[in-house]
Amino acid sequence: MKTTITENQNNILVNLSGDLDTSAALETEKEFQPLLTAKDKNITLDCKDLNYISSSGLRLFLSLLKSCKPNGNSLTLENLNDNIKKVFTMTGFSSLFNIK
Amino acid sequence: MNNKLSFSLPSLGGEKGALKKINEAIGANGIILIVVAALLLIAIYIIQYQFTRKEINEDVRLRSQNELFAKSLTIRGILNEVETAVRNHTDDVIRNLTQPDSMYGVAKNIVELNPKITGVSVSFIEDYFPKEGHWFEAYAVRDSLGNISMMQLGSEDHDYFQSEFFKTPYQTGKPMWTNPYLDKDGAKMMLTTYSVPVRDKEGVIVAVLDADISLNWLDEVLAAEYAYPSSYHVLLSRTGQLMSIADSNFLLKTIPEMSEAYDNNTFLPLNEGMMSGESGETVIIDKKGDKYLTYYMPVDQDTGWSIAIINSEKEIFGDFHKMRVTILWLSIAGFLILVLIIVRAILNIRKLEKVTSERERIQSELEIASGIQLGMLPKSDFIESVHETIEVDASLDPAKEVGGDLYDYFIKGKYLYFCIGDVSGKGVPAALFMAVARSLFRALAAESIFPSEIVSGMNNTLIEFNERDMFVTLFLGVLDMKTGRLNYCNAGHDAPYILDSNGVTELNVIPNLPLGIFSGFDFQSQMVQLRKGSLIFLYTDGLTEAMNEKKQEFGEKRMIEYLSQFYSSHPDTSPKELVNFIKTKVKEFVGKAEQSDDLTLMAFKFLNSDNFTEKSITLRNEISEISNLNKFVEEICRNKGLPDNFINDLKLAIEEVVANSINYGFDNDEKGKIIVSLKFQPEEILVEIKDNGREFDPTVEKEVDIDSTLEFREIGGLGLFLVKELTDSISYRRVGNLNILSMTKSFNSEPKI
Repeated sequence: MKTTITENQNNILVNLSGDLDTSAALETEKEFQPLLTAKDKNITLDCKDLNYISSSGLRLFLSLLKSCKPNGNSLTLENLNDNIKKVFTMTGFSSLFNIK
Repeated sequence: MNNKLSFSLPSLGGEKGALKKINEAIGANGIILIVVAALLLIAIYIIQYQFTRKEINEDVRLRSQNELFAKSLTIRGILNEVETAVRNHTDDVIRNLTQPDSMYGVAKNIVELNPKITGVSVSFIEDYFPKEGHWFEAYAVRDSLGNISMMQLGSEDHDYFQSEFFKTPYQTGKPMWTNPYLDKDGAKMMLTTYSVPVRDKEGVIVAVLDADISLNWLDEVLAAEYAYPSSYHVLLSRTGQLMSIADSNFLLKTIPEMSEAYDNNTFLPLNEGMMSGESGETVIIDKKGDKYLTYYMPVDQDTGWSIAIINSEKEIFGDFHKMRVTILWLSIAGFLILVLIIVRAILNIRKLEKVTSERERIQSELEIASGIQLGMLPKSDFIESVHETIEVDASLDPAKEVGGDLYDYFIKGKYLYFCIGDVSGKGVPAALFMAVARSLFRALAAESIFPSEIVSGMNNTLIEFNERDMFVTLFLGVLDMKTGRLNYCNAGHDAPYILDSNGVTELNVIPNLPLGIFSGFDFQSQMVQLRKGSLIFLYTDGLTEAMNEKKQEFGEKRMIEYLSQFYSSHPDTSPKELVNFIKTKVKEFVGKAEQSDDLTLMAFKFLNSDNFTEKSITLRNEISEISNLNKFVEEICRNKGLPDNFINDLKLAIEEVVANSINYGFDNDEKGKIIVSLKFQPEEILVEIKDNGREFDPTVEKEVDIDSTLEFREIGGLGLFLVKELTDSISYRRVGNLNILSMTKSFNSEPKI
């Protein structure tokens, strides 16, 4: 699991690559720290190369989303694959997140 | 000028065109046929004409001769009567030779007794009665009132010695008939005289007894019963005088005189013939060119008379000519009808020839097409030579030259792609549609290992090009030849049968829809795990709907019975033996009935090499083990040929359970063990997760409210929620110090959302 964060003025682009399983989530949680403290940013998670997500990954996403409102950030998810979309649908996440 | 030319040219061209058209339409042979028919008709007409003419001529001759003979007999009879009457009275003369005056009585007596005799004279030789003078001719005559007067006629003025009637019998000593002559009274009565010499006892001729006979009766006799109404008779005397003739001006004249008067030489042969005393015939032609068929015959030696009958050809052939004209018209009409029939027949033959040759051409093309179509079918030897875990056999018998059934299979990588299908309808349209479907199968199967994807692609493309609203039922499978996992999608086709240790069972299929009906239809794939050595038997409805002569169908029940019967007695059967057995049974059943539909049978046998059914992994209670777990699950499932989404769901469900166990099942620093095993069953996978942590039943965890808003959304509980969503069943049990969680996931389960 690899996380790449690119910041450009008010935009933060996060490239997620690999399987976001329970063990990878521990790692990724640390990578997400800067995002939780960012202010007034447009955060985009590009999931083009994200193959898999388990509930710990979902939890990470949820935490990030919950942090956005008080910090004045926006969060957009992009390029979810079918499997991940299915999980989002099952869990009701697709109505919580702004998914492109 | 130009106008005229340009006007006349097209019309000429038109006529030529018409001739050409006739020639093209019926051909040289047709024209020859018509000409021959015409010639034959003409020949028949001529022969018939000649024959009839000859018949009529023969008839005329016979009738005329009969009539002439009859008339001759009548005349002869009358003359005989007179002759007899006269001869019978010669004795009266001899008896009274001494009394000249008695001769008047003798003469009168004869006249009285014979109405045809107008006068009788007894003329004595010179100076026989010296008292009476040089001449003595006692004469009795009947006047027009019927009174008989008598007188002596002989005198210097009437020197009968020189007259023929006296002279000839006297000199020859024989009776004679004189030539006819007209009555001296000018009564225009024609007479002839019969003279008989009278001899005394010494045999010396002393007198001539003669009777004048009126020939009035001749006309009466001749007029009776003519052969034809306009026929008339000619009676000619020995010296050629006309005694009876149509034109009475020529009475007692000769035929040459008449010939001269009429300026007609054709009379002359008649004269010659009649004068010769022979029978014969001749033709008289009048000025108008009309012909008269004339026959003649002598009446009698003594008189030297000859009789002829003249018949108008016009009259004789009148009816015949009428008939001839009728026949001619009928012949022409018949001929025209014949021409019409010939032309029509030829046109029909042409048409038939064209149709026949067209049919032959189509037939030969169909045979070629049939060859091409059968050539498209895969060869089982090929499959078996490249892959040892699979045996296959198939058979396709089209009801016509080409059919709408299809089957195909090929190997790509470790997968065997196959399909069997049946296009609606029969014959060429079905065959073309089938060819398209088969090509699509090949093209799309190269792109995907997912049956539903291939089938959907085929469906959408077929609909795009489906002008005739045809459809095809199809069963499509992708078999992982290593694992025996069969992914399949059924598009409205008959369900295949599995023959394995459970016997013969129908494969569970979702019917979906046939291809070509509904664009964008969401075809559902299914999966089944084939056991080692199992057979899959596929067929088209040509099998179950095969009909015998009693119109009974082979039926599914019979098919299952035969499959069971054969499989139980031949558990090691090859696909070929199975297909042949069923085919033989169908043929026996159908008997002499005509094959009603294409018949396709296909069977596979799976001879797996590494068909594991269970794998397990043991994990430590550390989060880092999750990656190993996921790798393990993924690899096993990929080996089994399971599709991506299935693997993802299973992986996620197992991970959530295991992660839950690692996170919450153990005390800190407690070393625990988690064993995950996967069991592959035909329809589903069974997952068992055992751990030696504290007792915990995840199935009774409270539900997560997935509809709550972000503010109220809880971070935990999602994992077990997902497990329940992603599996078909979940159960927990505690055995000793072990938590055992069992989950099943069907290969064919529908996604819950």
